[in-house]
Amino acid sequence: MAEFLTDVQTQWFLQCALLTGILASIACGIIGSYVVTRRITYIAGAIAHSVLAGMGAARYCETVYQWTWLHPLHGAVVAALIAAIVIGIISLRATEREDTVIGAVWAIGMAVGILFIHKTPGYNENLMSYLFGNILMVSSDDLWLIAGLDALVVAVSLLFYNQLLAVCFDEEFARVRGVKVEFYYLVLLCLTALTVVLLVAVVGIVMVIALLTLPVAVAGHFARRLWHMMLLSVFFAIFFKTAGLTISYGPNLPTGATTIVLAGALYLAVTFASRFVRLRRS
Amino acid sequence: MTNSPVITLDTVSFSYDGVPVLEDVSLTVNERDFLSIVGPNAGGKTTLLKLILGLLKPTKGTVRVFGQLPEKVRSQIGYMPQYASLDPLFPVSVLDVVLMGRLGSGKSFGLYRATDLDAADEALKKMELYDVRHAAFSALSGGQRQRVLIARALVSDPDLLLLDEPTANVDAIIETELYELLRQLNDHMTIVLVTHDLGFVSQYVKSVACVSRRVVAHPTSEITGEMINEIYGCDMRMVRHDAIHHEENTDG
Repeated sequence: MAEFLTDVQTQWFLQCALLTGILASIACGIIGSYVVTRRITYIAGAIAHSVLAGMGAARYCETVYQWTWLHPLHGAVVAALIAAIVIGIISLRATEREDTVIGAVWAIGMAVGILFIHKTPGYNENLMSYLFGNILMVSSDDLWLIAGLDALVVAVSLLFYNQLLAVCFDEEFARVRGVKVEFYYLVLLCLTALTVVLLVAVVGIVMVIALLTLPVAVAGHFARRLWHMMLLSVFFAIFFKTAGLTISYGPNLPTGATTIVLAGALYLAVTFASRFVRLRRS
Repeated sequence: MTNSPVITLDTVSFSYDGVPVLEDVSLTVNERDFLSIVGPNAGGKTTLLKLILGLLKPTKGTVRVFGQLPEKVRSQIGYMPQYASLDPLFPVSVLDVVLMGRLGSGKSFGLYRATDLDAADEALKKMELYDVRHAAFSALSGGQRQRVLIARALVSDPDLLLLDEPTANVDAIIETELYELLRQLNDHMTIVLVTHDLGFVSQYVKSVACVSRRVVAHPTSEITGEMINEIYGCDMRMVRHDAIHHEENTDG
């Protein structure tokens, strides 16, 4: 830990990682609160896994066609938005079972990504870093993209806070009040998609759901209102990511996995503690 | 608007995935009526309410509210759903819930306006919830939660109030208070409520619609204790899709 604290003062890549973690935490806490209360964690999981298709395709085009301006994160944004809109429209309109569609998007996204990565020439260190993330690999260019996405997600989700709250709490009533429920649901899914992309850069595809839900789950024990939950979730997300980075740096552990284990442990501790407190009271 | 019907259903049928829920329903609700929709579970009471709200589209027939399609006049309708349909863990305060009733009439983004907050305060006071306005919705008792949802329905100052089982999970004292309040509100708004408890409600409401796939409406004045039994007995038989009993009921 001491090693991290001395190095972070001089090493740009560590400052970059720290900043990425904090930026991603802001969107993660806000959107995570919507996702958890609206109970669409599984949709977020499907979007996260379909991101691999976009990253794989972008990496393939970058290498094979020499499109050097193209970055895997660009592909991730496109794939995440497509997955969000497909799932959204099908769950709103079609008679297909929603969970089947979610499962299909989840698996097809991964499969397409793996095909692209397999066909991309060169050494494929990318697959692992896409799946499990590597916050220490974030570059200054990535940081700009991450900051931009973050600003967009935060602005939209706060501007339509009242509408999104009503749609998450009681969709039918919101519809009766003339709120365009389908539109806001799609907006929420697109915001979730963008947040997922931010988190993929931090912890990788596989562990996105954990970062989206665990800070909110901890915050849920203390929050009485949705925006309280959002603030607390942002705080916990920043705490988990910073602590994960700090702890993992010295012994050279994978940062993403360390972060998730830490978040999971605190969640379990808070859950047991609150049950204990409730039992004592009753 | 006086004497013009508030709600008109003309030979409305509704089926869900091919299973008929309501058949050939014609119903008129006049201004300042206080109609109770009664009937057995899964008899189509909530479906009828949702057709009036325009949340469901009739398979056949027409629904008109204030002479128009329900979607067009939703700003004039206050709606209270069954509270069991809401997530009990949702982090939301009493005031947050009531303010949702102002959504359609305000801006489509950003903060609520001062007029919205004033209207919410007024609705909260009317329902005696002002002191708990900052409490978590999930921390309230069943009766308080029902009142929060009624406040949310009233905060938009509707001309028509639709309530789905407003007294489910509420004890008798609160139920009486609630009906007294609705009787006062009935002075200036039309009220339609769904209930499974006709015996209690009949002393407050002006007319009763008995729903079990088909709808039979009565003015309350015609209803006697015997008739209640008859309606319920009849309903129970009508669940078995027996059209002959329905005819008998119409005669009664």
